[in-house]
Amino acid sequence: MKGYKSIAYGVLAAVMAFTVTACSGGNNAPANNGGNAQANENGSAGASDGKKVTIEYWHTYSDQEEKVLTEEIKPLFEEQNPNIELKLTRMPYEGLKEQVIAGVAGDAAPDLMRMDIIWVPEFAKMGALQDVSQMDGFDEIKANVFEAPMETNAYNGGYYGVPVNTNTKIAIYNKAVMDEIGVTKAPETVEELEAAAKLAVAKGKPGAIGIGGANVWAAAPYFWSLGGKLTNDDYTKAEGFLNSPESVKALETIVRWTKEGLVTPTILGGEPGAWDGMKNNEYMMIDDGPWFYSILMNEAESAFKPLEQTIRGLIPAGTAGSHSVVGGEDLVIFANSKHPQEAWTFAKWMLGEEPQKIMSKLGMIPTNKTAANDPAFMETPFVAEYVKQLETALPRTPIPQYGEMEGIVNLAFEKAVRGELEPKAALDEAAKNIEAILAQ
Amino acid sequence: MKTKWYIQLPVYAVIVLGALAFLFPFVYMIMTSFIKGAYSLPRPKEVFSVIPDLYNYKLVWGKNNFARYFLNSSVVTLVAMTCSLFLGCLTAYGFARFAFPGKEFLFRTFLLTMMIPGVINIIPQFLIIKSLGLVNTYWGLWLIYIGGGVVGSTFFLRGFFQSIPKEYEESVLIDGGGNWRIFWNIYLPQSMPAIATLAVLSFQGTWEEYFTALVIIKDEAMRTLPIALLMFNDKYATNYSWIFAASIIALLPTVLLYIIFQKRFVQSGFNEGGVKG
Repeated sequence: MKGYKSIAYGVLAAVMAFTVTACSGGNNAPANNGGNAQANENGSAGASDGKKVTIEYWHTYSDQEEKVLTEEIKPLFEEQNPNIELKLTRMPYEGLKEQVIAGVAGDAAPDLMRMDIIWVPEFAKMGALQDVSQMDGFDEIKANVFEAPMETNAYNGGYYGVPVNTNTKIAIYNKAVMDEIGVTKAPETVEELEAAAKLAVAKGKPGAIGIGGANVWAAAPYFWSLGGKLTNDDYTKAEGFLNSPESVKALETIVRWTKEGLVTPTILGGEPGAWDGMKNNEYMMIDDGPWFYSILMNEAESAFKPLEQTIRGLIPAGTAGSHSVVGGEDLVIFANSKHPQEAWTFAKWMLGEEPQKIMSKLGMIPTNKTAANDPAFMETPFVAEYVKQLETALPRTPIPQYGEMEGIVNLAFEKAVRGELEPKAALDEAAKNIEAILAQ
Repeated sequence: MKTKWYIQLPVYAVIVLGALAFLFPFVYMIMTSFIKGAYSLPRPKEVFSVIPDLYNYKLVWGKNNFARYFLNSSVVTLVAMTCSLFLGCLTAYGFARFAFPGKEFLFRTFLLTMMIPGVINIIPQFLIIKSLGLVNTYWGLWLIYIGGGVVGSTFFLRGFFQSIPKEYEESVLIDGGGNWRIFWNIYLPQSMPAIATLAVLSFQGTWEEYFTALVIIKDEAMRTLPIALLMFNDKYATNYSWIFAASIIALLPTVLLYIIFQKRFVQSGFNEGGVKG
């Protein structure tokens, strides 16, 4: 009996040891694989020996976009690159980051992926991505695309992806509400916005300045335009920037608007939702990306006609000007890709003028300058304001720790908006916490 | 004896109110699934004035490989449920009726694995499945689902089996039957209420499982239903009427299973009186 007991403990110990190594393997594997990938790159059967190579591409395009991807992009690419087959896999957005981490750790990541711009530095730091700045033809690509989206791929002196499409948010005003309060054109400054909002709220509207939440993506356009800053220009310091007098004043203004009932209840997750309030002529203004138009215009069943029933404008300018937030996706190549050269061939091709123009028909803003300035693209009825807004739009802090940092800033914004902390105290606390993670 | 009406009335009122409270969200969901193009959650007045038609149901059935994934899920779930129940019953029988060295230790280890959240397991599990060469196969998925299921069923059934009187076994032994006969003719029929409950739980758990399925299955054509459901949840905007219509279709098999096994749940204590005093 005693013998059995010791064997049993031995097995338990072995199981535990395995689990522990397997877990830590999960964290270390990508970094090690980074080295192997180089070997792959040199040893992999290139397209030149006539063998057909399949590259796997993970994406999160929507229904309509996926249709164009499979019916136009894939055939065109394969026709021009007969040695490469593009295997498209659409991934659900829910839990996607965990899926990518599991894929990277288990050496089952695809060759390339279209990922949210804000994830790139984090995965680059993990060692999951290839530095494409060493790849052939990178400089040419870099010269042809807009600078702000390109910079979302920068990490530690290299570039870990290329921007495939970009976007930002603009101010969208409800025409019926504007008519009701007698304002004929979109407010250009925060003062005009505040005055119009007061008129709308006086008419009994549930809210007028459409801030979608107390978080960076939703509130930063107002925070920045009002003079606030998240960090210094090098993204290395938050103390003295996130809690500078200008930042405090910006947050105080947002808090004051909320207290006066000018902001839509969406800032604290209240109802009606932004699109709901817009469709029902309750909210004077919301902000959103080009998908507001591309999705709702394609929704034939809806009674709401976005082009006719809204007025577009830039984010109203405050003391710092008009600054929206940059969104979009980058194409990245994974470190353990079996065919990095072919994946890069696709990435380069996808940033070329023709594929960019094809995708832009869906309202996706091209990163390729030539495609973005194409008259045919500018004729898409709603894009002009987005392209103009992009000129001054700012990126969310492109650092590997952004995920954590965003959580801290969101909490500070929410505490201030809820009235739990004075704006200055909330930002002081956040700046201190962010300094600690920036030091990592 | 008849209960007085003035006692019955409040009792029924409470029961009816309770039932309505539970039904309301479900009815609301069904009504929302009839609305066309709900990119924002519809208002109550829209919801209750909707004319029911199956437009959204037809639409989602043809989208995101929904029909295909429904079939995939049925295969995956039925095999996983049957195997994990059968193996679970056998294991529980072993733990309930046999004495063997390290029994308690093994059982505790089973319990220990139940206490680790699934997300933490996923990378080690994936590495094992990969080293077995079972990535992108249903065999790999079944291994995880059945392995996990056996642990749960064993834990649940062991206690149930232990409560079955030993005297039944003795009667089988006297008639010359062995362990298999005891298991098959005494334990299984006696435990039907527990097994039916487990069947529903096991079905539901596998039918709704999303994360592991997405990690193990790499081929789009082999994906399961929950993945199709989440595909309706877009990055920037969500069409709620599609999600609700799709969810209701996905819910039907579970509801059906409940109806089938419903009678079994309440049957307890039917073995009383089988043993003399």
